[in-house]
Amino acid sequence: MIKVVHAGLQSSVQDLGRFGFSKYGIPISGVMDEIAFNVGAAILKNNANAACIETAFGRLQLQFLQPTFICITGADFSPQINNQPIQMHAVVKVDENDLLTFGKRKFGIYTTIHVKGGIQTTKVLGSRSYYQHVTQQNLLQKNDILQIKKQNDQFNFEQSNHVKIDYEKQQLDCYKGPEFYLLNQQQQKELAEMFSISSNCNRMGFVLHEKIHHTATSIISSAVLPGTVQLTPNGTLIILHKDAQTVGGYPRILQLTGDALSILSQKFTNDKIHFNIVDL
Amino acid sequence: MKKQPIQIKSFGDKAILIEWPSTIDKHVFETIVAFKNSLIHDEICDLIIAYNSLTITFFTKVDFTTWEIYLQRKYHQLKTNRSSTPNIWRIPVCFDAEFSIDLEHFAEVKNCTQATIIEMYCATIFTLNFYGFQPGFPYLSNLPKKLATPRKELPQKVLAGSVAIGGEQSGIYPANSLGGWHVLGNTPIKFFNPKSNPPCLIDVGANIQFYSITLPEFQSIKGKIDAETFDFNTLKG
Repeated sequence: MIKVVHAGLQSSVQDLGRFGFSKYGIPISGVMDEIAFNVGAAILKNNANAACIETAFGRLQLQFLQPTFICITGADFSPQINNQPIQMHAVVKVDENDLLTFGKRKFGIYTTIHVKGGIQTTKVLGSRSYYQHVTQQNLLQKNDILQIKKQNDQFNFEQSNHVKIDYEKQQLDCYKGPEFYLLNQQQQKELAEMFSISSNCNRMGFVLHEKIHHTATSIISSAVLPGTVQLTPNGTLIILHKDAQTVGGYPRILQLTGDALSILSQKFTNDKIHFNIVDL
Repeated sequence: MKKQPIQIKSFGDKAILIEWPSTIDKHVFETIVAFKNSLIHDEICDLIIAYNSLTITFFTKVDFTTWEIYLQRKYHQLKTNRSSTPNIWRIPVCFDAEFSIDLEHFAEVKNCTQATIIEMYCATIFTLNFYGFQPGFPYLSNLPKKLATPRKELPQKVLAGSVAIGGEQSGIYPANSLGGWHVLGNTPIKFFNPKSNPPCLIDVGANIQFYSITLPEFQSIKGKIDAETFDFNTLKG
Protein backbone atom coordinates (compact mmCIF):
# COMPACT_ATOMS: atom_id res chain seq x y z
CA MET A 1 0.00 0.00 0.00
CA ILE A 2 0.97 3.61 -0.51
CA LYS A 3 -0.20 6.37 1.79
CA VAL A 4 -0.69 9.95 0.62
CA VAL A 5 1.09 12.03 3.24
CA HIS A 6 0.63 15.31 1.42
CA ALA A 7 -1.65 15.51 -1.62
CA GLY A 8 0.04 18.37 -3.45
CA LEU A 9 -1.48 19.83 -6.62
CA GLN A 10 -3.49 18.12 -9.37
CA SER A 11 -2.42 14.72 -8.03
CA SER A 12 -4.34 11.78 -9.39
CA VAL A 13 -4.14 8.18 -10.53
CA GLN A 14 -3.83 7.99 -14.31
CA ASP A 15 -3.28 5.41 -16.99
CA LEU A 16 -3.44 5.96 -20.75
CA GLY A 17 -7.09 6.96 -20.54
CA ARG A 18 -10.72 6.03 -20.93
CA PHE A 19 -11.53 5.26 -24.55
CA GLY A 20 -14.85 4.93 -26.30
CA PHE A 21 -16.98 7.05 -23.95
CA SER A 22 -16.53 10.51 -25.43
CA LYS A 23 -19.95 9.91 -26.98
CA TYR A 24 -21.32 10.17 -23.41
CA GLY A 25 -19.46 13.39 -22.66
CA ILE A 26 -16.67 11.57 -20.80
CA PRO A 27 -13.21 12.91 -21.69
CA ILE A 28 -10.40 10.47 -22.43
CA SER A 29 -8.38 11.76 -19.43
CA GLY A 30 -5.16 9.80 -18.90
CA VAL A 31 -1.62 11.04 -18.32
CA MET A 32 -0.68 14.44 -19.64
CA ASP A 33 2.78 13.31 -20.75
CA GLU A 34 2.43 10.01 -22.59
CA ILE A 35 6.09 9.95 -23.57
CA ALA A 36 7.13 10.01 -19.91
CA PHE A 37 4.47 7.45 -19.06
CA ASN A 38 5.67 4.99 -21.70
CA VAL A 39 9.29 5.40 -20.59
CA GLY A 40 8.36 4.63 -16.99
CA ALA A 41 6.30 1.57 -17.93
CA ALA A 42 9.17 0.25 -20.04
CA ILE A 43 11.83 0.80 -17.37
CA LEU A 44 9.78 -1.02 -14.73
CA LYS A 45 8.69 -3.67 -17.24
CA ASN A 46 5.12 -2.90 -16.33
CA ASN A 47 2.03 -3.64 -18.37
CA ALA A 48 1.76 -0.89 -21.00
CA ASN A 49 -1.35 0.52 -19.32
CA ALA A 50 -0.34 0.05 -15.67
CA ALA A 51 -1.66 3.02 -13.69
CA CYS A 52 0.72 5.57 -12.20
CA ILE A 53 0.39 8.60 -9.96
CA GLU A 54 0.62 11.94 -11.74
CA THR A 55 1.26 15.16 -9.88
CA ALA A 56 1.91 18.80 -10.79
CA PHE A 57 4.59 21.07 -9.35
CA GLY A 58 6.23 18.40 -7.20
CA ARG A 59 4.38 19.00 -3.93
CA LEU A 60 3.19 15.43 -3.42
CA GLN A 61 4.51 13.30 -0.55
CA LEU A 62 3.98 9.54 -0.48
CA GLN A 63 4.83 6.91 2.08
CA PHE A 64 5.33 3.32 0.93
CA LEU A 65 3.79 0.94 3.45
CA GLN A 66 5.34 -2.09 1.77
CA PRO A 67 8.53 -2.66 -0.23
CA THR A 68 8.35 -2.21 -3.99
CA PHE A 69 10.18 -0.74 -6.99
CA ILE A 70 9.42 2.67 -8.39
CA CYS A 71 10.47 4.87 -11.30
CA ILE A 72 10.04 8.62 -11.63
CA THR A 73 9.63 10.14 -15.11
CA GLY A 74 8.34 13.39 -16.59
CA ALA A 75 8.95 16.66 -14.74
CA ASP A 76 12.07 16.77 -12.57
CA PHE A 77 11.35 18.14 -9.11
CA SER A 78 14.43 16.61 -7.46
CA PRO A 79 12.81 13.43 -6.13
CA GLN A 80 14.08 12.08 -2.81
CA ILE A 81 13.58 8.95 -0.76
CA ASN A 82 14.04 9.64 2.95
CA ASN A 83 15.64 12.96 2.01
CA GLN A 84 18.28 11.28 -0.18
CA PRO A 85 18.20 12.26 -3.88
CA ILE A 86 17.18 9.51 -6.30
CA GLN A 87 17.66 9.29 -10.02
CA MET A 88 14.96 10.06 -12.55
CA HIS A 89 14.31 7.39 -15.23
CA ALA A 90 15.75 4.61 -13.08
CA VAL A 91 14.45 1.68 -11.07
CA VAL A 92 14.56 2.59 -7.39
CA LYS A 93 13.97 -0.01 -4.69
CA VAL A 94 11.85 1.32 -1.82
CA ASP A 95 11.44 -0.33 1.59
CA GLU A 96 8.57 -0.34 4.08
CA ASN A 97 7.96 3.19 5.46
CA ASP A 98 10.18 4.93 2.91
CA LEU A 99 9.03 8.47 2.19
CA LEU A 100 9.04 9.97 -1.31
CA THR A 101 9.24 13.76 -1.44
CA PHE A 102 10.24 16.37 -3.98
CA GLY A 103 12.28 19.52 -3.84
CA LYS A 104 13.58 22.10 -6.28
CA ARG A 105 12.12 22.29 -9.76
CA LYS A 106 14.60 21.51 -12.51
CA PHE A 107 12.12 21.36 -15.34
CA GLY A 108 8.55 20.59 -16.32
CA ILE A 109 5.19 20.44 -14.60
CA TYR A 110 3.76 16.91 -14.48
CA THR A 111 5.73 14.16 -12.78
CA THR A 112 4.71 10.53 -13.19
CA ILE A 113 5.42 8.12 -10.37
CA HIS A 114 5.41 4.52 -11.53
CA VAL A 115 5.20 1.54 -9.22
CA LYS A 116 6.03 -2.05 -10.20
CA GLY A 117 2.77 -3.73 -11.14
CA GLY A 118 0.85 -0.47 -11.28
CA ILE A 119 -1.53 1.29 -8.89
CA GLN A 120 -4.42 -1.07 -8.12
CA THR A 121 -7.41 1.23 -7.86
CA THR A 122 -10.81 0.19 -9.26
CA LYS A 123 -11.28 0.58 -12.99
CA VAL A 124 -14.33 2.56 -14.05
CA LEU A 125 -15.44 2.14 -17.65
CA GLY A 126 -12.20 0.40 -18.50
CA SER A 127 -9.73 2.84 -16.96
CA ARG A 128 -8.20 3.84 -13.64
CA SER A 129 -7.81 7.48 -14.72
CA TYR A 130 -9.40 9.80 -12.20
CA TYR A 131 -12.13 12.10 -13.47
CA GLN A 132 -14.82 13.96 -11.59
CA HIS A 133 -18.24 12.27 -11.48
CA VAL A 134 -16.82 9.20 -13.17
CA THR A 135 -14.36 7.84 -10.59
CA GLN A 136 -15.02 8.07 -6.88
CA GLN A 137 -12.41 10.83 -6.56
CA ASN A 138 -10.93 13.23 -9.05
CA LEU A 139 -7.87 14.10 -6.93
CA LEU A 140 -5.71 12.34 -4.39
CA GLN A 141 -6.38 13.46 -0.84
CA LYS A 142 -4.29 13.43 2.33
CA ASN A 143 -4.36 10.00 4.02
CA ASP A 144 -5.61 8.18 0.92
CA ILE A 145 -4.37 4.60 0.78
CA LEU A 146 -3.59 3.17 -2.65
CA GLN A 147 -3.19 -0.55 -3.19
CA ILE A 148 -0.21 -1.93 -5.05
CA LYS A 149 0.99 -5.45 -5.82
CA LYS A 150 3.26 -7.41 -3.52
CA GLN A 151 6.76 -7.66 -4.97
CA ASN A 152 9.41 -10.31 -4.57
CA ASP A 153 12.84 -9.07 -3.61
CA GLN A 154 14.20 -10.12 -6.95
CA PHE A 155 13.51 -7.91 -9.88
CA ASN A 156 16.05 -8.30 -12.60
CA PHE A 157 16.26 -4.88 -14.06
CA GLU A 158 18.85 -3.44 -16.32
CA GLN A 159 20.30 -0.18 -15.20
CA SER A 160 18.43 2.19 -17.51
CA ASN A 161 20.28 4.05 -20.21
CA HIS A 162 20.22 7.75 -19.76
CA VAL A 163 16.87 8.70 -21.23
CA LYS A 164 16.97 11.89 -23.24
CA ILE A 165 13.71 13.43 -24.30
CA ASP A 166 13.86 16.82 -25.93
CA TYR A 167 11.34 18.71 -23.84
CA GLU A 168 13.22 21.94 -24.49
CA LYS A 169 11.99 22.09 -28.06
CA GLN A 170 9.59 24.91 -28.74
CA GLN A 171 8.19 23.37 -31.88
CA LEU A 172 4.81 21.68 -31.57
CA ASP A 173 4.02 19.50 -34.56
CA CYS A 174 0.41 19.67 -35.63
CA TYR A 175 -1.97 19.07 -38.48
CA LYS A 176 -4.41 21.54 -39.98
CA GLY A 177 -7.64 21.32 -38.03
CA PRO A 178 -11.14 20.93 -39.49
CA GLU A 179 -11.69 24.72 -39.55
CA PHE A 180 -8.19 25.74 -40.65
CA TYR A 181 -9.71 26.78 -43.97
CA LEU A 182 -11.62 29.57 -42.18
CA LEU A 183 -8.35 31.42 -41.47
CA ASN A 184 -7.38 34.24 -43.79
CA GLN A 185 -3.81 34.95 -44.92
CA GLN A 186 -3.17 37.36 -42.08
CA GLN A 187 -4.31 34.86 -39.46
CA GLN A 188 -2.26 32.03 -40.97
CA LYS A 189 0.78 34.28 -40.88
CA GLU A 190 0.19 35.14 -37.22
CA LEU A 191 -0.28 31.46 -36.41
CA ALA A 192 3.28 30.78 -37.54
CA GLU A 193 4.76 33.13 -34.95
CA MET A 194 5.97 32.44 -31.43
CA PHE A 195 3.44 32.13 -28.64
CA SER A 196 3.90 31.95 -24.91
CA ILE A 197 2.09 29.83 -22.37
CA SER A 198 -0.20 31.80 -20.06
CA SER A 199 -0.73 30.97 -16.40
CA ASN A 200 -4.17 29.62 -17.26
CA CYS A 201 -3.24 25.98 -17.74
CA ASN A 202 -4.36 22.70 -16.28
CA ARG A 203 -5.40 19.18 -17.29
CA MET A 204 -8.28 20.59 -19.36
CA GLY A 205 -6.16 22.81 -21.55
CA PHE A 206 -3.46 25.39 -22.09
CA VAL A 207 -4.40 28.98 -22.92
CA LEU A 208 -1.82 30.90 -24.93
CA HIS A 209 -0.95 34.43 -24.06
CA GLU A 210 -0.85 36.11 -27.45
CA LYS A 211 -3.99 36.51 -29.50
CA ILE A 212 -4.32 36.35 -33.25
CA HIS A 213 -6.50 38.53 -35.40
CA HIS A 214 -9.97 37.50 -34.39
CA THR A 215 -13.12 36.68 -36.27
CA ALA A 216 -16.57 36.31 -34.79
CA THR A 217 -17.06 32.89 -36.27
CA SER A 218 -18.29 30.05 -34.20
CA ILE A 219 -19.19 26.61 -35.40
CA ILE A 220 -22.18 24.43 -34.67
CA SER A 221 -21.11 22.35 -31.68
CA SER A 222 -18.93 19.48 -32.78
CA ALA A 223 -16.52 17.03 -31.21
CA VAL A 224 -13.13 18.17 -29.92
CA LEU A 225 -10.15 16.01 -28.94
CA PRO A 226 -7.12 16.39 -26.71
CA GLY A 227 -4.70 18.36 -28.89
CA THR A 228 -7.39 20.42 -30.62
CA VAL A 229 -6.40 24.09 -30.89
CA GLN A 230 -9.48 26.30 -30.63
CA LEU A 231 -9.74 29.90 -31.76
CA THR A 232 -12.08 31.85 -29.51
CA PRO A 233 -14.04 34.94 -30.68
CA ASN A 234 -11.53 37.39 -29.17
CA GLY A 235 -8.55 35.74 -30.87
CA THR A 236 -7.32 33.68 -27.92
CA LEU A 237 -5.95 30.25 -28.68
CA ILE A 238 -6.70 27.32 -26.40
CA ILE A 239 -4.95 23.98 -26.76
CA LEU A 240 -7.23 21.33 -25.30
CA HIS A 241 -5.68 18.57 -23.20
CA LYS A 242 -6.72 15.25 -21.63
CA ASP A 243 -9.59 16.42 -19.36
CA ALA A 244 -11.15 18.84 -21.87
CA GLN A 245 -14.86 18.76 -22.61
CA THR A 246 -15.71 16.48 -25.49
CA VAL A 247 -17.71 18.96 -27.56
CA GLY A 248 -17.09 22.60 -28.44
CA GLY A 249 -18.37 25.50 -30.50
CA TYR A 250 -15.11 27.25 -31.35
CA PRO A 251 -13.31 26.72 -34.67
CA ARG A 252 -10.76 23.88 -34.49
CA ILE A 253 -7.86 25.33 -36.42
CA LEU A 254 -5.06 22.93 -35.57
CA GLN A 255 -4.69 19.42 -34.16
CA LEU A 256 -1.49 18.58 -32.26
CA THR A 257 0.27 15.25 -32.77
CA GLY A 258 0.37 12.89 -29.79
CA ASP A 259 4.03 13.66 -29.07
CA ALA A 260 3.46 17.42 -29.30
CA LEU A 261 0.74 17.09 -26.67
CA SER A 262 3.23 15.40 -24.33
CA ILE A 263 5.88 18.08 -24.95
CA LEU A 264 3.27 20.80 -24.34
CA SER A 265 2.28 19.28 -20.99
CA GLN A 266 5.68 20.14 -19.53
CA LYS A 267 5.70 23.79 -20.61
CA PHE A 268 5.81 26.32 -17.81
CA THR A 269 4.19 29.77 -17.70
CA ASN A 270 5.87 32.11 -20.23
CA ASP A 271 7.67 29.25 -22.04
CA LYS A 272 7.63 29.82 -25.77
CA ILE A 273 6.16 27.52 -28.40
CA HIS A 274 5.45 27.69 -32.10
CA PHE A 275 3.22 25.55 -34.28
CA ASN A 276 4.78 23.48 -37.03
CA ILE A 277 2.14 22.29 -39.46
CA VAL A 278 2.91 18.87 -40.90
CA ASP A 279 1.12 16.79 -43.50
CA LEU A 280 -0.71 13.61 -42.62
CA MET B 1 -35.71 11.04 -48.58
CA LYS B 2 -32.54 11.71 -50.55
CA LYS B 3 -29.37 11.65 -48.44
CA GLN B 4 -27.46 14.87 -48.03
CA PRO B 5 -23.89 14.80 -49.40
CA ILE B 6 -21.15 14.43 -46.80
CA GLN B 7 -17.74 15.97 -46.45
CA ILE B 8 -15.00 13.80 -44.98
CA LYS B 9 -11.97 15.44 -43.36
CA SER B 10 -9.01 14.20 -41.40
CA PHE B 11 -8.98 15.34 -37.77
CA GLY B 12 -5.44 14.70 -36.63
CA ASP B 13 -3.90 11.31 -37.40
CA LYS B 14 -6.25 9.21 -35.26
CA ALA B 15 -9.66 10.65 -36.10
CA ILE B 16 -11.87 11.40 -39.06
CA LEU B 17 -14.63 14.01 -39.19
CA ILE B 18 -17.72 13.58 -41.33
CA GLU B 19 -19.83 16.68 -41.82
CA TRP B 20 -23.30 17.28 -43.15
CA PRO B 21 -24.62 20.67 -44.34
CA SER B 22 -24.30 23.28 -41.64
CA THR B 23 -27.77 23.39 -40.08
CA ILE B 24 -29.59 21.68 -37.24
CA ASP B 25 -32.07 19.58 -39.18
CA LYS B 26 -34.14 16.70 -37.86
CA HIS B 27 -33.97 14.57 -41.00
CA VAL B 28 -30.25 15.08 -41.48
CA PHE B 29 -29.76 14.16 -37.84
CA GLU B 30 -31.67 10.90 -38.32
CA THR B 31 -29.36 10.07 -41.21
CA ILE B 32 -26.33 10.77 -39.03
CA VAL B 33 -27.62 8.41 -36.34
CA ALA B 34 -28.39 5.71 -38.90
CA PHE B 35 -24.94 6.07 -40.42
CA LYS B 36 -23.25 5.92 -37.03
CA ASN B 37 -25.14 2.73 -36.22
CA SER B 38 -23.94 1.15 -39.47
CA LEU B 39 -20.25 1.68 -38.66
CA ILE B 40 -18.95 -1.38 -36.87
CA HIS B 41 -15.22 -1.97 -37.20
CA ASP B 42 -12.45 -3.28 -34.95
CA GLU B 43 -10.27 -0.24 -35.51
CA ILE B 44 -12.93 2.23 -34.40
CA CYS B 45 -12.52 3.52 -30.86
CA ASP B 46 -15.42 5.95 -30.58
CA LEU B 47 -18.21 7.50 -32.65
CA ILE B 48 -19.16 10.99 -31.51
CA ILE B 49 -22.26 12.56 -32.93
CA ALA B 50 -22.94 16.29 -32.73
CA TYR B 51 -25.61 18.33 -34.52
CA ASN B 52 -24.36 17.96 -38.06
CA SER B 53 -21.24 15.88 -37.68
CA LEU B 54 -19.90 12.48 -36.81
CA THR B 55 -16.37 12.12 -35.49
CA ILE B 56 -14.76 8.71 -35.67
CA THR B 57 -11.75 8.10 -33.43
CA PHE B 58 -9.42 5.16 -33.88
CA PHE B 59 -7.12 3.17 -31.64
CA THR B 60 -4.10 3.73 -33.88
CA LYS B 61 -3.02 6.09 -36.65
CA VAL B 62 -5.15 5.63 -39.74
CA ASP B 63 -4.67 5.79 -43.49
CA PHE B 64 -7.05 8.62 -44.25
CA THR B 65 -7.37 7.96 -47.99
CA THR B 66 -8.43 4.34 -47.53
CA TRP B 67 -10.93 5.23 -44.85
CA GLU B 68 -12.37 8.09 -46.88
CA ILE B 69 -13.18 5.68 -49.71
CA TYR B 70 -14.59 3.10 -47.31
CA LEU B 71 -16.82 5.66 -45.57
CA GLN B 72 -18.18 7.12 -48.83
CA ARG B 73 -19.10 3.59 -49.92
CA LYS B 74 -20.79 2.76 -46.62
CA TYR B 75 -22.73 6.03 -46.80
CA HIS B 76 -23.81 5.33 -50.36
CA GLN B 77 -25.15 1.93 -49.27
CA LEU B 78 -27.03 3.36 -46.30
CA LYS B 79 -30.78 2.97 -46.49
CA THR B 80 -32.57 6.02 -45.09
CA ASN B 81 -36.19 4.94 -45.14
CA ARG B 82 -37.23 4.53 -41.54
CA SER B 83 -39.40 1.53 -40.86
CA SER B 84 -40.64 2.71 -37.47
CA THR B 85 -40.78 5.82 -35.32
CA PRO B 86 -38.21 5.89 -32.53
CA ASN B 87 -39.56 5.33 -29.02
CA ILE B 88 -40.43 8.32 -26.90
CA TRP B 89 -39.00 8.27 -23.39
CA ARG B 90 -41.42 9.87 -20.92
CA ILE B 91 -39.50 11.60 -18.17
CA PRO B 92 -41.09 12.92 -14.96
CA VAL B 93 -40.16 16.46 -13.90
CA CYS B 94 -41.20 18.30 -10.74
CA PHE B 95 -41.81 21.98 -11.36
CA ASP B 96 -42.38 22.73 -7.68
CA ALA B 97 -41.03 26.05 -6.38
CA GLU B 98 -38.27 24.16 -4.59
CA PHE B 99 -36.79 23.12 -7.94
CA SER B 100 -38.01 25.64 -10.50
CA ILE B 101 -35.34 28.19 -9.64
CA ASP B 102 -35.66 30.29 -12.78
CA LEU B 103 -39.26 29.56 -13.79
CA GLU B 104 -40.77 32.68 -12.26
CA HIS B 105 -38.30 35.04 -13.88
CA PHE B 106 -38.47 33.06 -17.09
CA ALA B 107 -42.27 33.46 -17.26
CA GLU B 108 -41.93 37.22 -16.66
CA VAL B 109 -39.40 37.57 -19.46
CA LYS B 110 -41.62 35.51 -21.80
CA ASN B 111 -44.71 37.50 -20.71
CA CYS B 112 -46.88 34.49 -19.90
CA THR B 113 -47.82 32.36 -16.90
CA GLN B 114 -45.62 29.68 -15.38
CA ALA B 115 -48.36 27.18 -16.19
CA THR B 116 -48.13 28.06 -19.88
CA ILE B 117 -44.36 27.59 -19.87
CA ILE B 118 -44.74 24.18 -18.26
CA GLU B 119 -47.48 23.22 -20.70
CA MET B 120 -45.42 24.24 -23.74
CA TYR B 121 -42.33 22.49 -22.40
CA CYS B 122 -44.21 19.25 -21.66
CA ALA B 123 -45.95 19.27 -25.04
CA THR B 124 -42.60 19.20 -26.82
CA ILE B 125 -41.04 16.04 -28.17
CA PHE B 126 -37.31 16.62 -27.83
CA THR B 127 -34.54 14.83 -29.71
CA LEU B 128 -31.39 13.87 -27.81
CA ASN B 129 -28.64 15.11 -30.11
CA PHE B 130 -25.50 14.37 -28.13
CA TYR B 131 -23.84 14.30 -24.76
CA GLY B 132 -21.24 16.92 -23.91
CA PHE B 133 -20.14 19.66 -21.50
CA GLN B 134 -20.12 17.12 -18.65
CA PRO B 135 -20.33 13.34 -18.54
CA GLY B 136 -23.97 12.43 -19.16
CA PHE B 137 -25.21 15.95 -19.98
CA PRO B 138 -27.70 15.54 -22.87
CA TYR B 139 -28.30 18.28 -25.43
CA LEU B 140 -31.95 18.26 -26.53
CA SER B 141 -33.31 20.03 -29.59
CA ASN B 142 -36.85 20.95 -30.83
CA LEU B 143 -37.40 23.55 -28.14
CA PRO B 144 -40.34 25.81 -29.14
CA LYS B 145 -38.95 29.14 -30.37
CA LYS B 146 -40.95 31.03 -27.78
CA LEU B 147 -39.00 29.31 -25.00
CA ALA B 148 -35.54 29.93 -26.46
CA THR B 149 -33.48 32.22 -24.20
CA PRO B 150 -29.78 33.11 -24.19
CA ARG B 151 -27.92 31.56 -21.29
CA LYS B 152 -27.13 33.61 -18.18
CA GLU B 153 -24.08 35.84 -18.16
CA LEU B 154 -22.78 34.29 -14.96
CA PRO B 155 -23.06 30.59 -14.16
CA GLN B 156 -24.75 29.72 -10.86
CA LYS B 157 -25.00 26.65 -8.67
CA VAL B 158 -27.24 24.04 -10.22
CA LEU B 159 -28.57 20.86 -8.57
CA ALA B 160 -28.18 17.43 -10.08
CA GLY B 161 -31.31 16.53 -12.04
CA SER B 162 -32.02 20.14 -13.02
CA VAL B 163 -33.95 20.41 -16.27
CA ALA B 164 -32.89 23.60 -18.00
CA ILE B 165 -33.00 25.78 -21.09
CA GLY B 166 -29.99 27.47 -22.71
CA GLY B 167 -30.26 29.25 -26.05
CA GLU B 168 -32.32 27.07 -28.35
CA GLN B 169 -31.50 23.91 -26.49
CA SER B 170 -32.63 22.08 -23.41
CA GLY B 171 -30.62 19.85 -21.15
CA ILE B 172 -30.44 18.00 -17.86
CA TYR B 173 -27.57 18.51 -15.43
CA PRO B 174 -26.34 15.06 -14.30
CA ALA B 175 -24.45 16.36 -11.27
CA ASN B 176 -24.32 19.37 -8.96
CA SER B 177 -22.37 21.97 -10.88
CA LEU B 178 -22.05 25.55 -11.97
CA GLY B 179 -24.31 26.25 -14.91
CA GLY B 180 -25.56 29.13 -17.01
CA TRP B 181 -28.82 27.62 -18.24
CA HIS B 182 -32.27 28.55 -16.90
CA VAL B 183 -33.55 25.91 -14.49
CA LEU B 184 -37.25 25.08 -14.84
CA GLY B 185 -37.59 21.96 -12.73
CA ASN B 186 -35.91 18.78 -11.51
CA THR B 187 -36.15 15.15 -12.54
CA PRO B 188 -35.58 12.31 -10.07
CA ILE B 189 -34.45 10.07 -12.94
CA LYS B 190 -30.73 9.32 -12.98
CA PHE B 191 -29.55 9.65 -16.54
CA PHE B 192 -25.93 8.95 -15.90
CA ASN B 193 -24.32 6.14 -13.92
CA PRO B 194 -20.59 5.53 -14.44
CA LYS B 195 -20.89 2.14 -12.75
CA SER B 196 -22.90 0.77 -15.67
CA ASN B 197 -21.88 0.32 -19.27
CA PRO B 198 -23.26 2.09 -21.20
CA PRO B 199 -23.23 4.78 -18.52
CA CYS B 200 -26.08 6.78 -20.08
CA LEU B 201 -29.70 5.71 -19.80
CA ILE B 202 -30.84 7.13 -23.12
CA ASP B 203 -29.09 6.79 -26.48
CA VAL B 204 -28.27 9.63 -28.83
CA GLY B 205 -31.08 9.95 -31.37
CA ALA B 206 -33.88 9.04 -28.96
CA ASN B 207 -36.95 11.18 -28.39
CA ILE B 208 -37.85 12.55 -24.97
CA GLN B 209 -41.03 14.10 -23.63
CA PHE B 210 -41.34 15.47 -20.11
CA TYR B 211 -44.41 15.28 -17.88
CA SER B 212 -45.18 17.13 -14.67
CA ILE B 213 -45.23 15.36 -11.28
CA THR B 214 -45.91 16.54 -7.75
CA LEU B 215 -43.34 16.81 -4.99
CA PRO B 216 -44.58 13.65 -3.20
CA GLU B 217 -44.43 11.75 -6.51
CA PHE B 218 -40.89 13.09 -7.02
CA GLN B 219 -39.83 11.86 -3.60
CA SER B 220 -41.43 8.47 -4.17
CA ILE B 221 -39.59 7.91 -7.45
CA LYS B 222 -36.33 9.17 -5.97
CA GLY B 223 -36.72 6.77 -3.05
CA LYS B 224 -37.18 3.84 -5.41
CA ILE B 225 -34.17 4.87 -7.50
CA ASP B 226 -32.00 5.19 -4.40
CA ALA B 227 -33.20 1.77 -3.22
CA GLU B 228 -32.52 0.42 -6.72
CA THR B 229 -36.10 -0.82 -7.09
CA PHE B 230 -37.17 1.57 -9.85
CA ASP B 231 -37.89 -0.02 -13.22
CA PHE B 232 -36.44 2.33 -15.85
CA ASN B 233 -38.22 0.43 -18.60
CA THR B 234 -41.49 2.04 -17.51
CA LEU B 235 -40.13 5.28 -18.95
CA LYS B 236 -39.88 3.94 -22.48
CA GLY B 237 -42.86 4.79 -24.68
